[in-house]
Amino acid sequence: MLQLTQLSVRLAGQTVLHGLDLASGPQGSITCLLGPNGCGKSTLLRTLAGQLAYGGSIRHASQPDWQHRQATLPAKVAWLPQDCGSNSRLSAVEVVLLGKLQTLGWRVPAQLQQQARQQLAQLGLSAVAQQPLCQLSGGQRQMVFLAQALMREPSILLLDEPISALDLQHQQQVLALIEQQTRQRNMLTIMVLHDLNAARRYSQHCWLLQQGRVLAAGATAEVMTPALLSQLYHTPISSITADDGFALFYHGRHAQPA
Amino acid sequence: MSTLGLSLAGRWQSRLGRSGLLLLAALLLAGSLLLDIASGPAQLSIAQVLHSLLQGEGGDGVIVWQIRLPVALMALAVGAALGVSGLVMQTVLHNPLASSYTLGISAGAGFGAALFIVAGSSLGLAEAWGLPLCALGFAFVAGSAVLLIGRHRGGNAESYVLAGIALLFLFQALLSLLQYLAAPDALAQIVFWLFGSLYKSGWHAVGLMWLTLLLGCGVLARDAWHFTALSLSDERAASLGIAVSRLRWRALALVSLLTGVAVAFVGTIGFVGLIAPHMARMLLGEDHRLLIPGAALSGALLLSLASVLGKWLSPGGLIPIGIVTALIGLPFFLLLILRSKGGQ
Repeated sequence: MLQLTQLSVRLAGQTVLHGLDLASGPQGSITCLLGPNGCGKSTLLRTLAGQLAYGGSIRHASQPDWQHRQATLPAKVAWLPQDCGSNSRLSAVEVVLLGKLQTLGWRVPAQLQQQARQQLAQLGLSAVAQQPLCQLSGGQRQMVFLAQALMREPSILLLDEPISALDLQHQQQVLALIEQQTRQRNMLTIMVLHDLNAARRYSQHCWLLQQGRVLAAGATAEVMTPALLSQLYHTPISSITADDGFALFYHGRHAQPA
Repeated sequence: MSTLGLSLAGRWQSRLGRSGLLLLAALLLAGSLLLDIASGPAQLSIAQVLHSLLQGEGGDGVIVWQIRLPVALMALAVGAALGVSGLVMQTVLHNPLASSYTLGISAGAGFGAALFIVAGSSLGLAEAWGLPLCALGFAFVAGSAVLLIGRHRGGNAESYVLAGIALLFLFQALLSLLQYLAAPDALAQIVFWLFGSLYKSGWHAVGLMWLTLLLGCGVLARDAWHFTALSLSDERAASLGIAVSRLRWRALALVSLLTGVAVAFVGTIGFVGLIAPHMARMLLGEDHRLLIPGAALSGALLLSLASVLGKWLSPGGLIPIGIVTALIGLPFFLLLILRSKGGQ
């Protein structure tokens, strides 16, 4: 579990995160981070990825405060920034190998090559292992970068809008993979999402962030209510119960009765 | 650039493998070296050249050992240094047009040398050491300015590129001013030096250049995987645990060193640093363990062939090498641009 106490971050002289007190779900669960654009979700993820200086404390399990040096990724953390497209000509397997960057010497041992190929096979990407990144679809690219992150064997996985640029089919594929890998590897996954229904279905824990402050945090079923979500996005959001038992959120045209 | 480059690389790679391509480049380079030594006012045959190289200075050996060999070896070292500098700058600044020439470092070194030519002799400094030191000093000034201005403006790749272009214009303006103010003798010297010439290189200069090249490449090679990761994007590299800013500073410092020393001895030479990395990328992909030697070999080959061509165009060897590289470089560059558009 990740415990954030009075976490504050300043960027360019402005306070972006104002003393956040948050607790994530346990290992093996997914915590989703929701909020309007500009509320500080990416900033929070970057701070957890060691890229920004912060005030307050970040503690994992019962360890002391991370106090990581700025711009250094902590050892057991993997971070997937937002995909801005890539026209790199590196092949998928080369990209996955980079996940083990810290241990790569001049020659790549056969065992590491094998591990990279196995990682791709686990995500169903064996067929495209030798293809350059620029020739893969958006969904395949995202999964290659996920494989790269998993090569670090992280105990914390940070995902910044992993499905925003994907079509429905690939969205489902990537989310199912994230869920499966989180359980299998007993990772703590923290995921920024804009899709409320994906968040409802795939996360166990939820943080609602508004203008750098916590609006609500807790179990997804309790936190993701139409009232709180309407307040979060300043727009009427309604829900009905879908036939899979989960709430289905939609953008209501009329204000929600109090 | 992607689709054409891929099909070309794919065909050659599948036949030779990437290491095979490097070996082929090295063999071509050896051939060009022999050709470079053979050509000149006294045309020698390849057999005579090989004989002189093996038997030492006797008869034709004097020409080979005292005149031709240092010049030919200097061409290799300078070409390699410029090629590697261009590669590193293009990777670290995410810009296919970056090179130590286009980003003002060569221009800074050139200004340093011109300043010495105009003012240094009055200070009583020996030209043999004063001029190279001045050039190297200003190369570092230019490199530092790029780093500081770029960081002040935001520290992303674009800021450094803009800073470099500003410095290019600055130093070119200052150079023009120096040329305007210089006495005719000094002016002739500056202009000739600005066009680049391999003929000022004695053995001590050749030794120093090779030493710098090997040291510089050795240090850069340690970061080969980091450069490969950086070719994805700044954020992706950071997500792999790389300290991107520090890597960028290290890279630009080494580029300033390599370029400064090269320009100090042979003057400013354009296009090699721009084209050699593209040639290497087309054939070898993005893995910098191969690209660093690949860009070095491409740059060395380009400059060596330019030297041969220069001697063929003007047997007295009087055409400055910088003009030859511009003559072959420009059409080659246009070809790269046109073919890549057609390939998409």
